[in-house]
Amino acid sequence: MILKIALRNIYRNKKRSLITISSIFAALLLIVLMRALQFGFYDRLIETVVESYAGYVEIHADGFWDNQSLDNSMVVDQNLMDDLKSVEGVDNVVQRLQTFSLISMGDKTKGGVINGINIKEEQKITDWNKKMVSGSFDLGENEVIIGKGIAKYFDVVKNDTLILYGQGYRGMMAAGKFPIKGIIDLKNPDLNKLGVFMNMETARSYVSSDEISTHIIIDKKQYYDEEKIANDLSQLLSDDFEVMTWKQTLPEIEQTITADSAGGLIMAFILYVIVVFGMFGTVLMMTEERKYEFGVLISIGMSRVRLFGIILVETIILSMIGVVIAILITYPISYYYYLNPINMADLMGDGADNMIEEMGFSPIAPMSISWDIPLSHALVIFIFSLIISIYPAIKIMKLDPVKSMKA
Amino acid sequence: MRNFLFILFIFFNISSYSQDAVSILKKSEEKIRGVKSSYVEMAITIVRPKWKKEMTMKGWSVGEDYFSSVVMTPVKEKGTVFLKRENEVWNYIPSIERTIKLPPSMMMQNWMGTDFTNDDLVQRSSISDDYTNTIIGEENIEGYDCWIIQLIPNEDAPVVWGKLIMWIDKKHYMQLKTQFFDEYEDLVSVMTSNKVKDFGDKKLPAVIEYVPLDKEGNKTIIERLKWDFDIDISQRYFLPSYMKNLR
Repeated sequence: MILKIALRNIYRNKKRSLITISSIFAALLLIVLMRALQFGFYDRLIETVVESYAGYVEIHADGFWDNQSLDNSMVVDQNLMDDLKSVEGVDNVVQRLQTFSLISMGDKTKGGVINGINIKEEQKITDWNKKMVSGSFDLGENEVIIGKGIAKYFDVVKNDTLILYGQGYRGMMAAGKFPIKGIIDLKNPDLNKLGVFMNMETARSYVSSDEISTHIIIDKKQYYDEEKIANDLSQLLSDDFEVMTWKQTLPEIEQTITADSAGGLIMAFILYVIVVFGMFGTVLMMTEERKYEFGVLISIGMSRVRLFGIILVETIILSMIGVVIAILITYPISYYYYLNPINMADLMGDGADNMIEEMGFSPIAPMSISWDIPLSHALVIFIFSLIISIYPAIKIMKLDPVKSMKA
Repeated sequence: MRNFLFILFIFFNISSYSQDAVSILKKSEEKIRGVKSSYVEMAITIVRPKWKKEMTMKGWSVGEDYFSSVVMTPVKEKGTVFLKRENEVWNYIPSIERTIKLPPSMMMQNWMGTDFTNDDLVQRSSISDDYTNTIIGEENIEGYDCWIIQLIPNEDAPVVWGKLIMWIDKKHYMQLKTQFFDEYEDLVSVMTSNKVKDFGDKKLPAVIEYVPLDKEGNKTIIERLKWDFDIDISQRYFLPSYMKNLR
């Protein structure tokens, strides 16, 4: 009965309903698209940096992070690897040996990060094959794959030879000549500029040790919380190890996201203020307009609570319609830009490409298609509409039917 | 008059003392390097809190200005050459077939991972020229009567230390102990020599221990296995272009 009357009321004054619906719709559309773009950018950032190489959780020998020397490395046996794999939420576990060295060819020299990796295991985490620019990732002994930034700096191609020179394990000197097997684009500007990749065995013989590694990288299953996994892992491991999540190892990414997201929230807040006052305005108008009607209804014996119920249902229906339309329209848009990511560099003009890469981001920004965004914002709007309906409620409770009908 | 004579006496005493200090140092330096040249085979042990590394090397020297060394073991580093020519230090690394002339910025880095710096290799030479030396006392170390000599660097001397104190034994002119102080007069490191042996007709300590005091648990031990003096050494041994042929 209440629902029926509410629907009729909405239908009766089409213009008023349309204004309310469209103001909710427009605000929600803007908020959702903006957040989708932002979150898409963050997901992309996490994906390129964390998921594709750095890993969600890292394990090192205790003290390694503060003093990244090979002398703070660890020996990892198969038992430990199996133990790590058995932790809930852990998908893949790989070992790496990382050390800093000078890379040289001809007259040029630059610093680089040597990564000893087990390429078959790494393949389970990211598809290296797809990222090769040239050459192959089938690393043999004493061969290296280099990031495309290094290739550009030295102007080298496949089969050229680079010289690596640095500090080995326990006072040994590390030096050697390594032919380039392939060039890779890891979609991560830092890795591209610094990364030199070789077999674990090659890396170990380069630093003169048979068994050490510096990192254990944990790849989590989707939808598992990395903090919880990190917690479980540190309970499992002795004090000789330190467990860190990507938020600790790559604080700059976490910080970028937090700062940028805060900016987005402020924008969303401004839009909310606009839409809430818009909604409040229409509700206010409606209440004033219908004072006479309310007076009649109360005087012929309708209870005030029921009357308020009708108004409440009206507001809910109106905001629901706005919300549903907004979701129905934003989702396909997000989905389109998820499949066809926006290239920020194109939007910003010449040179922006380099600038963005310089900052360590990839300029490709897909939209997020997560349902979290439209649903959470729809819920906020919905709650606001409930709060707004307090105003007519108060009015109805205080309404003097005789006075209202006289006016 | 008596006072004047007394002052004169003290003055002469001091000056003769300091004259002595210079000649003592000269003699002791000459003993280590030979009048003309020296050849040494040595084992170097680098001690760190968690590990140890051993290397063996051969070294040739002519006078104060020329010194070259080549690594024999470990096998992976075999053939690595360090060459000192006057103020320059050169480094040859066989695995990459490169000769590097160490830039000034690398002079303070560790030499071959030991506690010595590349700079020590160059600087250790001019002990009798760059310092003002005085005998400040006498002491007996492990059965050897020693002079204690204080070395203060001259104002214009290119020296990193603020002060050195050396114990040199009176009979064989062996440098048995050296303390290194920084410019704030704090003791930075100590070098002690022991295991006196006969090398040819000379008595010399075979083992040197160098302990930097600011790094706990760090130590470098050099043991001379063979030490010949005043043999003929070809000038080629000190040419950068010859480094890859040294063995």
